[in-house]
Amino acid sequence: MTIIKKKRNIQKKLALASCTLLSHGATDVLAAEAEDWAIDGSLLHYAEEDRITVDKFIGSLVTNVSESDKVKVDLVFDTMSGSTPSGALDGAGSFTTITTPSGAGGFSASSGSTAIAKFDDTRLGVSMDWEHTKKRLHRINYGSSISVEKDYTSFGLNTKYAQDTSSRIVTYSAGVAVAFDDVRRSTGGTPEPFAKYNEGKTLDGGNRVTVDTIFGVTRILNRRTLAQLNFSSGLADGYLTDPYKLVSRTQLIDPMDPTAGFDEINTYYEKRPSSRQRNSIYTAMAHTTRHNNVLHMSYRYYWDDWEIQSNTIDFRLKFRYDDGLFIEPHVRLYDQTAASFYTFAIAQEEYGISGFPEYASADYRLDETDATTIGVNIGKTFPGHGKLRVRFEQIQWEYANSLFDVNKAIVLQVSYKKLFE
Amino acid sequence: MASPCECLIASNNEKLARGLAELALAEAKRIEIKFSRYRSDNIVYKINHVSQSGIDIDNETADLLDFAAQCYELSDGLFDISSGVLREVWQFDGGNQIPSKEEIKIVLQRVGWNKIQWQRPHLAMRDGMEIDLGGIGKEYAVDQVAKLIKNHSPETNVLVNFGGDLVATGPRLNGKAWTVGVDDPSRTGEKTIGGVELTKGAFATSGDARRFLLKDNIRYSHILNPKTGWPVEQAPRSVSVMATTCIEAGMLATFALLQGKNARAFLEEQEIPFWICEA
Repeated sequence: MTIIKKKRNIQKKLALASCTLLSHGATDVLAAEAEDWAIDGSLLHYAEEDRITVDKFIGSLVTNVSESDKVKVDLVFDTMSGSTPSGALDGAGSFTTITTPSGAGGFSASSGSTAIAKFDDTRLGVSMDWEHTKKRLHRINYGSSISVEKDYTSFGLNTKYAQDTSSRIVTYSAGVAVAFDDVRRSTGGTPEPFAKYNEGKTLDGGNRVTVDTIFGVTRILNRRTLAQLNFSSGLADGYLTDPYKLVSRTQLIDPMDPTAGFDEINTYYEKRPSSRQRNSIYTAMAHTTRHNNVLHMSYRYYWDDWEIQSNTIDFRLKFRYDDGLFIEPHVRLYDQTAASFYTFAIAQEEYGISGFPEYASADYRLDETDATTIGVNIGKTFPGHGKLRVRFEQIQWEYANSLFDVNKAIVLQVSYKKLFE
Repeated sequence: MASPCECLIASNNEKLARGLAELALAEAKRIEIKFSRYRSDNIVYKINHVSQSGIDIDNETADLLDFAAQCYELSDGLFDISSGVLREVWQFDGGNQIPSKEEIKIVLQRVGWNKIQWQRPHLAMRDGMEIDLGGIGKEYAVDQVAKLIKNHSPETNVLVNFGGDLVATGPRLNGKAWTVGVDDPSRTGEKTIGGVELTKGAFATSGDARRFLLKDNIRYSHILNPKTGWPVEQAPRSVSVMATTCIEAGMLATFALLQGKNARAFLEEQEIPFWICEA
């Protein structure tokens, strides 16, 4: 009864079909589909040398509420303490040492100095993200976040849409995020810009609105290589000044000889523009080597209308060993140009005894900067239990013009992730 | 998997071997739970019980359906994951009940992959039709478990054997091949009809001597032709095939059985190593 036909060899076609079936998706991804819950907890310790210390708890919970819906809730709790450069020079006395990028190295100020602002704060942040998958090729995310500190409140909403082509080789994505921030000093209000330090009116808290958009393309180049290109652009409008930062007015000791040093003759609250337009292009590539190690490289170019441009190169290589262990060295190089209104100080020789530029800030974060990060991630999977990760990084910054021209920090993070059915 | 499953790990590191074994067990369990047709909480059940408007399928299941569709094409419709409903009229329990031609004709209306609308990721089929991934699932699990172990521990070779369908990812610790005995289906577990040396590759067997139906001295094999609704005549009792992957070996063995008395000719055309045990 069986119909017998003389057939050609079908083995090669079947072999190809089998390979296609088995090559689809990393097994780990498939295995992850079966998990309904994932809890990730981590403790992070960040410490700058003689400056800021941050201890952070980060908890996240991911759950599949249906075949096509995933909900993620993140909780962040920070305690921050220490001191940070205010931008002011040392209040009294004259300076002869600090002028150039190669300057005099670290600066040690007395604790009563205005050059250093002490602070102590805690932050609680909560964010939620809902991802909905439609017909397996479209994903849409809706997110919201709230963050509260004594001197800062932020509320944000975001949405992102991603679509795979039917071959699943290319993914296009577009997203938009809006954030509403409320900024004040921990004692309330914001200082009047360019008012003398500890004088002048206290204004209401500052508000700002930020809108960011992002467009991305991710493409699978081959079975082992993935490439990504993102463009993002954003606009912030409102109070962008830092209510704690100061800027000093200086007078040369000897106008005929600038190298003779200068005196600080006054200290003011800083003033920044009330809008900032930011853009960046990010490109990344991930490649899995023949021995199953993963190489990840990325480059980011950033520019804004405050005339800051920056380059970030990031390189990491994950060595995967038997028994679920991985070791991933990490190097990041960063450089940044100074903002157009960044200044070491307001020079009396240029602005007189009471004149001001349109904007001025001596915040070291707006200075010309080079930064190097060296670190390592180590992780181990315990089958049936979870995944433990430890991250250690050392970051070093060099500032071209700031009073304190070097900063160092270490980051230590320990995380544990557990999956539940 | 309704059969003994073993995982031979070539390693001196007991802790590693235990970890990998746990991983293998978890993956095998996951695949069984996801694709078993004996459960009411998985995707196969959903596909079989959803309304005619159909259902969106997850990636992994969609990959298996794409593969099943290719097998349907390559076997000229003889391998058909929708043929399971024929079991409603054929019961291969060693008894002697054979269905009437009318009964078969009626049930055949609910058989045929070509009647199913499958456009990734959406599948729709008429009420009463069912799909069963059992003919692919075990071999798929073997390959997936081997792949998972290889991903976790690239230097460790394993032999994954789920009820006689197996794959080896490389030689044993002493550099030698794994030796696999081929069961004699008439004296299963007691006698072998040969041995195979396997360093890297897969080996799968189709056929089951214990499942048949005897009526008027005619032995009806449990291999059903989904086009006619009748058992394949003069099918070998078992066919074993060697190939690169377990799923490929398993499909070739199954396709061969479906060829009935032409099984040997079919296998010879495929130019692969095979063992055949005639009825």
